[in-house]
Amino acid sequence: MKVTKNSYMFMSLMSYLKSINFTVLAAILIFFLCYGKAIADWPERPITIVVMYATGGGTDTILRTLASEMSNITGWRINVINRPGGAGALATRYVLNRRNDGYTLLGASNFNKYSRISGGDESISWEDWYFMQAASNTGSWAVRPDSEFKSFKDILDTARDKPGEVTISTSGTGGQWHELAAVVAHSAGVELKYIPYGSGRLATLAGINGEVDIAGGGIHEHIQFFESGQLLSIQQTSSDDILTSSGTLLPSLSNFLPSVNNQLPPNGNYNLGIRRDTPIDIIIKLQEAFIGAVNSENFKNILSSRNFSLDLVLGDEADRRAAELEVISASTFERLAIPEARSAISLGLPSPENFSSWWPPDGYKSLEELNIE
Amino acid sequence: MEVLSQIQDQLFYIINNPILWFACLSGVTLGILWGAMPGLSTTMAMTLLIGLTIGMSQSVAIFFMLGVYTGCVFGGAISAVLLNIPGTPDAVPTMIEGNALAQKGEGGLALGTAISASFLGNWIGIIFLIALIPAILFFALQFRSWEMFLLSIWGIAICGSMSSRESPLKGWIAGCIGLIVSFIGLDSIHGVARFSFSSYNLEDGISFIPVLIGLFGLTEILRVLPQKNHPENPSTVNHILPSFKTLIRYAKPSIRSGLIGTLVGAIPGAGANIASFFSYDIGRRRANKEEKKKWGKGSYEAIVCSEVANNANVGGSMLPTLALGIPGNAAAAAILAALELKNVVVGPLIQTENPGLIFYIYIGLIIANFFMYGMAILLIKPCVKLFNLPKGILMPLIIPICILGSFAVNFNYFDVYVMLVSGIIGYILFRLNFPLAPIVLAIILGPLADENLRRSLLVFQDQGFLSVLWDRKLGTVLLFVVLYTFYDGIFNSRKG
Amino acid sequence: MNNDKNNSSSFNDLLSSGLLAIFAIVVMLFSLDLEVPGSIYTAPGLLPFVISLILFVLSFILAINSFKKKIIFNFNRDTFSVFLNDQNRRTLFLLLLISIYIFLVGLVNFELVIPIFTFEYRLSSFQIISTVMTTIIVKNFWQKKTLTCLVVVFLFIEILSAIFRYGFGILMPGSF
Repeated sequence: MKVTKNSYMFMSLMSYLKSINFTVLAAILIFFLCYGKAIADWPERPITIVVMYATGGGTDTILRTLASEMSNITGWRINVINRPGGAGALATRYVLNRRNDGYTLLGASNFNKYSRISGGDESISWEDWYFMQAASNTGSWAVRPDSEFKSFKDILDTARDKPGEVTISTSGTGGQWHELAAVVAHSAGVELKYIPYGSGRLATLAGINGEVDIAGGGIHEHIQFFESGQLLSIQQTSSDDILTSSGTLLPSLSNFLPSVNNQLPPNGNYNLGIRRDTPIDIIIKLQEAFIGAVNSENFKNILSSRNFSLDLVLGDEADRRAAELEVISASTFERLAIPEARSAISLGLPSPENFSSWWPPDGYKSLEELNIE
Repeated sequence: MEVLSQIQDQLFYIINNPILWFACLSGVTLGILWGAMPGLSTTMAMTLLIGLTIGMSQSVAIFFMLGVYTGCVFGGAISAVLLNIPGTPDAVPTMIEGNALAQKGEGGLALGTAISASFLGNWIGIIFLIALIPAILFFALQFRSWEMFLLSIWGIAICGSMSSRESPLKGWIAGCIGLIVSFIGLDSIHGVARFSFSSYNLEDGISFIPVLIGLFGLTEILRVLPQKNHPENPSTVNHILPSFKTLIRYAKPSIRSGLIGTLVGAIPGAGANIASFFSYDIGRRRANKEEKKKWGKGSYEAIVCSEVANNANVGGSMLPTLALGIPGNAAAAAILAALELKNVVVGPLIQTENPGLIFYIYIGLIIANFFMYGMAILLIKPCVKLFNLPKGILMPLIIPICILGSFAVNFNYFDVYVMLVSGIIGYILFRLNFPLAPIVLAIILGPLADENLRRSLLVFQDQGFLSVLWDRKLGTVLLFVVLYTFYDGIFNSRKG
Repeated sequence: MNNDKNNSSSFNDLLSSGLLAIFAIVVMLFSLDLEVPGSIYTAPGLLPFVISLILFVLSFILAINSFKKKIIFNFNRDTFSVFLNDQNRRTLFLLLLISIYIFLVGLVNFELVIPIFTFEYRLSSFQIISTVMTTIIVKNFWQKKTLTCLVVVFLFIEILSAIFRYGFGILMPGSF
């Protein structure tokens, strides 16, 4: 009885506080006429980009460079903060809890596709957000120079003899490199042992110090160690072989598994997310600045020195990719039986094969349609 | 020879650019003041600074960040000694000893010893780093999951000696509490939510910085402020720097602590600065009988052990950052991020792609060290005066800083609630005579222990235990050290 | 006197060992309840279970040690008057103030924008609540004039938030 009364008092206190909050705001509106200024003046204060991964990683570097280029072009002040955790769920929630005024943006990778299916935040990347893609990366497998494995074939042979004994490092259970390795192993018909590490860098380190047989990760994480001779390339997931500037050959996976390329999740990518309910004028302003930043010299330098590729995707195409990636990952997660993951059926998602007939789903509104409204 | 000419070039460049000196000096000053503020951590300073360095040129940005890093690590000792509130976890051992001395009116000398030890520690770190890069890198690469697990369990064993008055029992109990708290959140192997009760915030885990601020900052406020007559530390600050003779006496522990600090710093991905805890514990075991009695009640040798290790750690932590692109702690991660933004790809090719940059960073560390020494001596007296303000006004003003300090590391207000709860629990544990330092140490080490134990079990699944012992020799040595530490804690304390 | 202190400290030990034992059992039960996706070696509940078991054993030893010190249970009026003495009441009062402060900052979010010539002065809920609550705390424990307390606290909070807002360009709690 007492509890009910207290919670009632607490509720009324809350609503009282909220009403103060509202009256104060209203008073300010009337007195100073500061809010509701024409959107032409946007932005009138610093913009904050909330990056969903920790300081110093790939996503962080790309988003921070984009931010500084965007402010070089427009003169806006843009701050970048990191809000890592829950595979992006915490950063997502942070931005969703702010106003939809374009002042708080999400620094994401892979269109935040893991957010909903891995049991994190339930906002839908293609329905509640508009993600602009700037660049993409390529997956890579590497071994130590003294490894018993010299080629992809060696790995497959050993893995067939001893299923589940060849170890590969990943950036985390259900992360990008785990997903990739699982798809490759599945289509080659072998079973690997996935050892999760906290990040792509630590997964690379585990390959260097020999704790795992294969270092999983991206080319951008391995390239330096190829050049310094600490690692040897086994395969990379782009469709052609890559010859590095110093003449090292990184063989393409399609040499060994010609069929796999259709099943692979598209390469990892880096994007800037805006809430879809942001006024369209603001979205357009941000998009213009974003395009300028992606095409800037400095950004291209940062990409090329790390073996990322420039990969600008905007508009409906970006929405479609976000949805497709989510569908592919949902089916992979189901096969891997990742705990906490939500199944595709429970989320109303189709299988990857049926994606093209499913898209666009009911209720989807493209940016143009939103604009007309 | 090429190396020498590169060093020469860098020196020439630095001498001709006074702006660099200014950047370093202002970084150090800011760092010391920041670290001295109770509730503001090194991690937070470094992450906030990345944004500020975007407008600077590469060379200025590096000097500025190195200055802040060096300054902050020392600055943590000031509030630790004078207010009993550490700014960073690695200042906790210094706090235990230094605050005991401050209550006797020797706060000035304790800080002076800390300054000299920090100066020395930085030097030892830099020298070990430059002279022994290949050896240290080889050592660092021996640390796989199994060794990381044993290292973190050793840290838990040390919790026993963090409780000065009692038997190790209460220290270990506090350590266990910290470990259990650290298990909250998504586990890193399978992604299963543990003890999170479907809360997003708990799934992310409890981070150690708000806990540190709560356990020491809030607990101290709750302890001191309500007293009728606030206790004032006698403020004799005339005598600051220890004599040269005293320093010579501590030469042996200094070198040992410096080595510990550098090596622990060099282990990639160790997570946070735990070197000072190790050095503090080893120092206690190696001290002579006279000194051992003072341990925990205000020993200068203990301050030397802790501060040398914790500053040598700065140099050590730069090694995996620069050589492998894998930062040893959050502050080093921030320096890495700043370098990446200037389009320096940090990793094994840094010397070929950016010739001389490594030397530039070393020289930066050395210059920052000199500035740190000078500014610390200048800033000690004002700091002592400031922290001798009436507790009635000083302590309440710390509360908003604690709130901001907990909030702004991850921009999550939930962390402020974590701070409040840890403050209340810390106060209760304090009243029940439990030491608080092991809780923080265990929260830092818990995720490392858990993740690495299960990962190594996953890797070793098909191997026998004996073959693991034989294959991983460093691990076996560590295993014996851990067993000895527990044995010593259980059987040797009973005699006392 | 010394005996008294020993007595109360071993009573405290006994009390805390009881609480810790309960805590350890609860954690053990929870960790047994966690799912086991792979083999038992990588079970998420493995280390939590082991650690809480150790905690249980340690608290048991703590209880035995406190019995060894031969405590005498004398629950009289003094036991409780010690608990509710002046200083403890002040501590509880302070804790209450700090909790209200922290919850208010967390729950109330608004930001005032006041243009002063060309400059926009921003006053967030954090600044206002901090100023008010800290002034109350200072007033209670410093015993100076209310106005003095208010001025000192106001200046301090303004400088602090200016450093964070303009120096580091970060969002304060409760600002947009």
